[in-house]
Amino acid sequence: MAKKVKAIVTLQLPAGKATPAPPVGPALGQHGINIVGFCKEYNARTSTQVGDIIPAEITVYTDGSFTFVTKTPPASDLLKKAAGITSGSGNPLRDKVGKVTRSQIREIAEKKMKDLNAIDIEGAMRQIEGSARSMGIEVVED
Amino acid sequence: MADLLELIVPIHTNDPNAPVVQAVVQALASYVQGGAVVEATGFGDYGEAEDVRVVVRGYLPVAHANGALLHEIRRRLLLLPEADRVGELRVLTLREEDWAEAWKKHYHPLRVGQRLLISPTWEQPETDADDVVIWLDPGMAFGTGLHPSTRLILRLLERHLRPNDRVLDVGTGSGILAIAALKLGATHVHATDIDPVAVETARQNLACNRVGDRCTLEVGSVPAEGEFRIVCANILADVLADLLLHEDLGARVAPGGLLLLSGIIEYRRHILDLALAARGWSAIDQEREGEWLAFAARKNPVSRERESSSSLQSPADL
Repeated sequence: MAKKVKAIVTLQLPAGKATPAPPVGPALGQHGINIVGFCKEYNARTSTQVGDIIPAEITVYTDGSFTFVTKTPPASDLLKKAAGITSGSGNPLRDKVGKVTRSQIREIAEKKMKDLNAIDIEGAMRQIEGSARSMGIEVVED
Repeated sequence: MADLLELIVPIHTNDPNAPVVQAVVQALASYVQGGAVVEATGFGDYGEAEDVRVVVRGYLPVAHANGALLHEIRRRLLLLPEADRVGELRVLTLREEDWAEAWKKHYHPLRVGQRLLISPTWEQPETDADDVVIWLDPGMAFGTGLHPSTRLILRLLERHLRPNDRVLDVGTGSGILAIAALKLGATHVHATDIDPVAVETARQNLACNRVGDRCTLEVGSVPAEGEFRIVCANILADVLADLLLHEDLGARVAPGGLLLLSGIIEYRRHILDLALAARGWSAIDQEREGEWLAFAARKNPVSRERESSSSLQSPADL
């Protein structure tokens, strides 16, 4: 059967612990997705990664059916862990809240490579550095 | 349960993975419950992305929000490196619902053809003595008969299936055609799908409809042998043509039997017309809904003339 894509929804979810509470309920419910079915399937697929945020990219079709893939943890989470901070800066240009080294950036870029639209590792590193700057994290040489 | 505020930030991009989208997700993350959500809508019929709209959404309990907080979020969005691509923050109030149940209100029993009724398992549809109910819950990977191509081939199946027919269903998906055929009187259905998830879903749906014992399931495409009075396939015109030309779908139809084909969008029908003609089949019945078509086809009587003309249109010529 030919199916038309209605929406692609990406959620940041705790591995193994998704519930129908917001944001899952309202974000998927408005597309008529079987929310309990989704949570069960997501938790089963991510049960070995508990403790990480594992985004789910859900493709919703016009007939209410869906498929999803899981992604690597968001760059911002990996950057916060690397910098040893719990949240980014409210004013990233003025207030710096932490530091990461170039080799930490490379490590994150390598981990995230398959989910970034970057041609090579340098491109991926530039994207991760951009994320770091927008969070008020400075990038320093090793 | 508390009402929710939904924060909506449109982003001027058609790429949901663009760095600016990730920056907004990150900026909202510290204010909203359970992380921000990226939603891309507006795909074309084949998933084309030209007119895609991307928004970032976040939810927080009304009690946690006030003017100062919203002001702070707006200010934070303005400070992002690509703030010119970030649209104006909009705020909606959502009534809190039981999210585990609320999605079910999108689905109701659906009548197809004269006798078929497709119903979610939590509904109790009113039926006439003649009605055939197919129980099917929406879920992972497969739909609920809402797509025109499914409705069209169900109508053909209802019209052309005879009691005690043996049926082959290629690309069974949810198993809906196999279930319908068995409930309409087929003695046995062989159903295949190249996707193992589909085969497992079909197995569950057949069992839920208590017809699993009369259906064999197989991961694969067109089986190598067997003859069936009805062979149905609800896929896509290009795939159907490929199955006819390269996997000899027609050879699985018993003498005097029928091919039921659906998933044919008007502007690709010529592909299928050519494939049917090349293999010596003619459409004898058709169903249409909008730009979608389904055909019932019968093998042309074999004559010398016909054979020579069809051999001219060998697959290699197409």
